[in-house]
This record gives sequence, C-alpha cells and structure tokens, in this order.
Amino acid sequence: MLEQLAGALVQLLSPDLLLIVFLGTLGGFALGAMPGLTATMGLALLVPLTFTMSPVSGLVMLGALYMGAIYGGAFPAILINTPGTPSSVATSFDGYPMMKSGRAEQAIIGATFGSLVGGVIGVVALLVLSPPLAALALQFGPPEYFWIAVFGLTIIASLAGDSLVKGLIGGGIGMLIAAIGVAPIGGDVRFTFGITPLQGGVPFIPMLIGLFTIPEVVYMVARKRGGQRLMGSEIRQESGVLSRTVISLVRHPANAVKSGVIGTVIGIIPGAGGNIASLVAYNEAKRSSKNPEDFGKGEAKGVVASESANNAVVGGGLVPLLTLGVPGAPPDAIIYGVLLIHGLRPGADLFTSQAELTYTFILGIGLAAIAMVPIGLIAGRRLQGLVVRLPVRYLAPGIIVTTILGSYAIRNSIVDVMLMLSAGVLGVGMRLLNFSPAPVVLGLILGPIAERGLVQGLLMGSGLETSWLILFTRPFSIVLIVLTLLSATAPLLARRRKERRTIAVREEVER
Amino acid sequence: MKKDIVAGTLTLLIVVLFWSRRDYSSPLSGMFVDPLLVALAVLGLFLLSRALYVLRSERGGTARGQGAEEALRPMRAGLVIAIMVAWVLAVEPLGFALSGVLFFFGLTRLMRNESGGWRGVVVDSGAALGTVLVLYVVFTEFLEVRLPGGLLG
Repeated sequence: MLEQLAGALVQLLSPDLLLIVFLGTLGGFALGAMPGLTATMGLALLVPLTFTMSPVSGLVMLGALYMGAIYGGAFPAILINTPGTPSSVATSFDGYPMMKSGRAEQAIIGATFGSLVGGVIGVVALLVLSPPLAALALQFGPPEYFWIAVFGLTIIASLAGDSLVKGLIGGGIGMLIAAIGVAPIGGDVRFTFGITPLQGGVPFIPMLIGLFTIPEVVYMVARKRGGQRLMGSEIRQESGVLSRTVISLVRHPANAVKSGVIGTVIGIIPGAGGNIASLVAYNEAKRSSKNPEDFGKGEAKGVVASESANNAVVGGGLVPLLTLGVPGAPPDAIIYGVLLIHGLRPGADLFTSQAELTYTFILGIGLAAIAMVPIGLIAGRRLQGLVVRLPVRYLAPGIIVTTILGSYAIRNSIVDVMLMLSAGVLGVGMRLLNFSPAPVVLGLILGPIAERGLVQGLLMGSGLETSWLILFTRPFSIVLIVLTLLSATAPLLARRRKERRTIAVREEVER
Repeated sequence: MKKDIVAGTLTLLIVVLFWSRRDYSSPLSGMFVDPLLVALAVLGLFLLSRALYVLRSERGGTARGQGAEEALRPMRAGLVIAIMVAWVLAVEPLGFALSGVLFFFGLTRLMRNESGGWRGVVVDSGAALGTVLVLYVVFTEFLEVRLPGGLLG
C-alpha cells in the first residue's frame, strides 16, 4: 500500500493535477457559496466535462469540487444567514451571530480551520479504515435508521433556545411538512390540499432557503433600529485576528478533531450525509462545552464543529462507495456514476489493480482540503469585507435575487420559488412567535428517515409475536437507544445543574 | 405569554387541518404521521394551557417579559413581503431579467432614507442592472440553468 501511495503522491504533484485540484476547489467554493446550488448539483454539472479528461484527472476534479462546495456553503451561512448547502445549516447558528457582532472574520477563519481538520480526518479515515468500517455500516437496517433519526431529533433539546416545547413543536411541524406527498411505504398521496405539484413532496432546499433567508431580509428592511449597513459602525477592524484565532484553534484542537471523527462516522453510514453530521457535531460541541449558553449567540466552537463534521463527510461518505459501491451521500452517487463511466468498479479491485488511480483520487481530496485554506482566507475574507460594507438597500434585494435564482435552479420550477417564499413567510411568523427555524429544518431532514425506518422496521418484525420488539432488540439499535437517552437527558441535566448553581450563588450573595 | 397562546392555538389548528385531510388506503401511510399529529396536539395543548395559566396567575401582578425582542415596523414588513410575492409572481410573465431589475430597483428606492437626487437614481439603477445581469449570465451561461425569458423572450 505504501508503495502505491508514494506513486499516487508523485502523480498528484504533477503541475496539471495540482492545477486541477486548485480549480476544482475554487469552482466548488464559488458554487457552494451560492444558496441553493448544492455540491450534488455542481458535481452533476461537471460530469460532461470529465468525459474528455483522463479517469484520474476527472475524479480528482470531482473530489476537489465536492470538498470546495461543502466548504463554500459556510460563507453565505456566516455572512447572510443562508446556508449555501444543506450541510451548512448548523454553521449559521453561530456564524451569523458572530457576523452581526462584528466577528465575521473570526467565524470565517474558524470555518476554514474546521473544514481543513475535518477534511483531512475524513481522507485519513478513507485511506485507513475503509474496509472494516464499510462492513459495519452495512449492518444497519431500518430499525437502526429509525433510531438514528430519533437520536438526531434529540438535538432539538439543544437547538430549541428558551422553550423546549416550542422546539419540539417546530420539529414536529418540520416532520409534518416532510410527510406531504407520496407516503414512502404505503404509497398514498397525503396532505397535498389539492395542490398537484405537492404530490412529489415539499423540496428540502427551497424550504431551507426560505426559512433562513426571507425572515432575515424582512428584519433587515423593517427593523425599527435598522442602519444603512448590516454592521453599521460595529465592524471590528482588529489587526492580528488571523494569527490570534489560528493560535487559539491550534491550542484547542479537540473540538475540531472530535467533530471530524463524528462527521466521518456519520458519513460512512449510507444516507445520513453532511447535514445530519454537522448538526450532531454541533450538538456534541455544545453539550461538552463549559459555556453551552454561549452557543447560538456567536460561539466560534459551533462554527468549527459544524464545518469540521460536514467536510469530514466527504471522505467518510466515500468509504462505503469505494469499497462496496454504496454511496454514503448524494454527491457520492455522482462519483459512482463517473467511476462506472470510466470502467471502474467499486470494490477490492479498486484498491489492488487500480490502486494508484484510487489513491491519487483520495490524496487529491486531501490536497483540496489543504487548498481551501488559501482560497478561503483570500477570497472568503474579501467576500466578507464586501458584504459588511454593502449598504442594506443593495444587500437585501441582492439576497432576494439570489434566493429566487437558487430555488428556481434546482428543478427549473417557479413552484419551488413559491414554496421558498411560503417557507419564508412561515419563518417570519415563527420568528415573531419566538420559534427557532432550526428544529423545523431538523424535522424536515429526519422525518422521512424516521418514517421509513419505523414502517420498514415494523414490517420486518411482522413475523415476530410482537412486531415492535424488533426496534429494541438488535445490538446496534440498543447502542443507538442508549446514545439517544444520553443525548436527550444531558442538556436537561446540565440546565438543572446550572439552575442549582445559580440558586447556590444567589444564596451565597444574600448571606 | 400572549405569543404562546397564539402559538399553541396555531399548532392545534395545523393539527386539525392535517387530521381532516387523512385519507389512507394503506394503514402503513399513517403509521408514522398519525402518532406525530397526536404528539403535536398534546404539545400545542400544553403550550396553550401553560400560557393561559401563567397569564391568569400574573393578572393583577407584573407581567413577565419574554426576553429581548427585535422590534419590527409591521407596515414595512408587510410591504416587503408583498413586494417579494409580486416579484415571484412576475418572474414568469415578465421574465427573470426584467422582473429582477424592476423589483431590485424598486426595493432599493423604497429603502433609501434620502432620495439622493438624480445621482441616486443612476447609482440604484446601475446596481440593479449590474447585479441581475451578472447573476443571469452566471446561471444561464456557466451553470446552464434555463431562466424564464418572459417579455424579452
């Protein structure tokens, strides 16, 4: 393996492949930075271009574009509260509050550092752990997927803000919206209210854009204490912010590394993807923090955790693809298609007879993770400078044009734009009633996974005397149930502990 | 607490709306959604009853705040939403480029605190034209997205 790795490294360091890595990462970054344009879409657009390339150049280009797109999604999430890709949802939770408090540069550096660490961890896992982990992931059946979804839903306890009940209602409404259209197992058309385009379900990305972006634009324009610029006079122009942030991140790498590992493991599970990984990592960063109350108000660790996890999914998701031919995430399915176009079959052969090509591809993704640093720190910081200085009267209509384009481009459908706007109006209403949009998004992501897992699991158990027992008796299900209980109770216990501590301090002061 | 009363009531209304549209030919289609609707109804009722209880116990006393809230100008918020709805409805008949330039310019003028004179009009129309055209070219030429042509074909 080492000999083939060395050969791959030499091949990758050729000027043409280095240029391809750079261009792929830059192109992916630009694509990811546009709300609505996902990594999957970018890869799909690039496929015809790879026909003319050699297999190694085409695959390296796709890998670099994938990594760059996931990273690029962080920028609109931080700068305008609009996740560029679904994987960046959790980045906006703290990135945008950081932007509003004049610390956008710090958020961008945190996102870059997190993406680098996560990207590299994912690639190392892809190189080292591929075969054993892929075999483990295949042991997951519908009951395990149901518990993964329930585990994901426990994050609501962290995302709900002041009211857990409102968080749970938000998650439930998200799952209800996701249930619109054809039932995944029963096949009935549900809750379309006579609107034919809803039969195919409510598309996720327009909902995501609408829920996060439109309320922000409305508040930007109609806020009573609104200024001429998004930041007004609060832009902090401190020198040495880059070196200070990097030193702080390097001194405390645990959060980025842990989130990278979470992202890799979730990436390996087929169907889970970067959006779930970033939310789980964010929740874990908040749970293990000494100051969990700072999360959601502009805590850099939240940005680092989310970005590390979603970039780790790039490498993690390729583990089951390259070893078993099972795509870990939607963009992996496109890479699978390109492998097949070039006559390459996933499996042991890819690591033996095609080892040099495979390792060049993997190392190319690793190099793209490193290339993100100069791209992000030069192009990204310029972009940040532009956004904070742009008058709101140009920024707000500019965001609306981009959201209309982003939601239209997904399926070339004006219905998607209308759905985006409806989600936006829902988001404004929710904000007025002190609801957070994050649990709704979580429900939209996890609802279909939970429904499919539950119904298929119960069907699997129909041969047993008590069918629902199948959900509780399989070994991986038990592990996930324990994790779910721990994740659900930890924030509540922490809240109670904090309340007790506050009461004790108050009593001490009164004495 | 008044907001919680509205939120709880709206949650119950949503549950009733979805419950009334249940029409499954296979029991599998409702296996997940029906318990979800029941759970939402319970949560909505809880939110509503808790808000009513707190409101009653606080009557006569000092009303408890709900944390810092961002104040909105309701007329302006409504106007922005109306402009966005009109913009989206105009995309197909007018085309993306024309509707984009018109609404971008309109919103920019609405948000100007001072008129800015002829210079302001020129700057705003330049910003509208430039932004919309750059995005139009990026999407149609580089990303090969077919955008509605409308009046301009």
